[in-house]
Amino acid sequence: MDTPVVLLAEDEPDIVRLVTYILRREGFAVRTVTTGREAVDAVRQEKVDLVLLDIMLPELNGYGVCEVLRDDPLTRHIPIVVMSARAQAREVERGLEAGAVSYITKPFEPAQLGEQIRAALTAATGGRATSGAGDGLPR
Amino acid sequence: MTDTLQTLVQAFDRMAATYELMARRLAGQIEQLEAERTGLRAQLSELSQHQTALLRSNQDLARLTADLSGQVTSLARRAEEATRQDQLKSELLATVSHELRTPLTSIKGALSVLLGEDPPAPEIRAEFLGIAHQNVERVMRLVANFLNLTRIEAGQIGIVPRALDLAEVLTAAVERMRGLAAERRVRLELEPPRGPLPLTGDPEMLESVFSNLLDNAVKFSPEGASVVVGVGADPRTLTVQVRDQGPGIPPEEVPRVFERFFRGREAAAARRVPGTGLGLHISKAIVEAHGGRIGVESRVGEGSTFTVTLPREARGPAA
Repeated sequence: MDTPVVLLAEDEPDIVRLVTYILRREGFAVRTVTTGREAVDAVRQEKVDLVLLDIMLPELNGYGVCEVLRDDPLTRHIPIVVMSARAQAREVERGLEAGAVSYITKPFEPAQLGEQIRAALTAATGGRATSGAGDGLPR
Repeated sequence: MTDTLQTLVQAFDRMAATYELMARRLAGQIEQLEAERTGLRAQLSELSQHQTALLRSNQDLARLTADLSGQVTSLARRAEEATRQDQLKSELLATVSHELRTPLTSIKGALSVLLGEDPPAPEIRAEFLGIAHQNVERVMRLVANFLNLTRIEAGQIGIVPRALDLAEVLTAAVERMRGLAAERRVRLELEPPRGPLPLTGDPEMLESVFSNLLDNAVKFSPEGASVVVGVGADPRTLTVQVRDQGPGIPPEEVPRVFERFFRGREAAAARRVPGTGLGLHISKAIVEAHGGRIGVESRVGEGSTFTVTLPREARGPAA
């Protein structure tokens, strides 16, 4: 199976740097966007196996992105993991209701990040190779 | 004939007596009526006085009601204000706690990687240590802002004035920002002052003012832009200007930028700029506690210039 591509939607540069490093070390390819709009466009146009999404994004927040992707039949199969500094149960529920498959609270343990993403990918593909919504050309 | 005359005279006498009696009775009745009339007049006068007294009472009551009404309104407003303050405080706590999680995430992430089983290559180690360090500075700024805010709220913005060199304060604030500026690819320049800039004031507080101004300037600047700090001096005052080439502040927002919690549309909408809306509010309080002034000039699409004027001798807040 080719290297799974994680789309990271996060606008804090330090966090982008760290998450990218951690995920690449875990064997994922990472593509970064900084707004909700860009996230939706990237999922629709490129090969994306999982979306790692910060809730607080400019131009369409994380919940909005979840809903748009879930409502689109071409993208609804792609697992979404949301990240948020808000730890309350209510926020977690909201994320899961909007279509996320799991929720990570900041600050997070890097090891935990890798595990949750792998778990989400496995659950989504059932072990098969994924096919994204795009044309499979490398970014 | 004499009998007839006598009878007539007697009859007339009797008639006269009767008329006299009638006249006396009438006179008596008139007297009585007059007495009643006087009595009624007295009653009328009394009633009139009562009415005047009642009218006055009514007016007093009306005034009292208006007063009470006013007090109720004012109490209601104060209760509303107290509730609003409470809400703001809760929101502030939630915001600060939320804002802190972001740099803490970076610190924790960076240190976990550095301490983990698979330590990275030396250049990456240096980079991640830098990330941890910058974000510690960010946490310190947030906490300082929060503490200053609670002090301002309690009316205790105590500055501890001593002799200082403003050039040193500015240099320290600029150095603190170098990391963030480099990361955002923003050029940060301090126009070198021509010598020391002696001033009486609180160096920590003043440094936090310039850190806030620089933090804003860098956060809002696009890549490749410059943030320039300039200083002017005259015998009695020192002036510091922080100029950026960011998006600028729309004219209708300019009067509000120093309000507590105010965050402009740019911050909310465009590139998400982290912040609690407190920095400028606190900076203004600190500058004014030094007897100084802070202001901003801005043009949308071109940038903003924040100007801080400080008296060389720290006075109390300007009258």
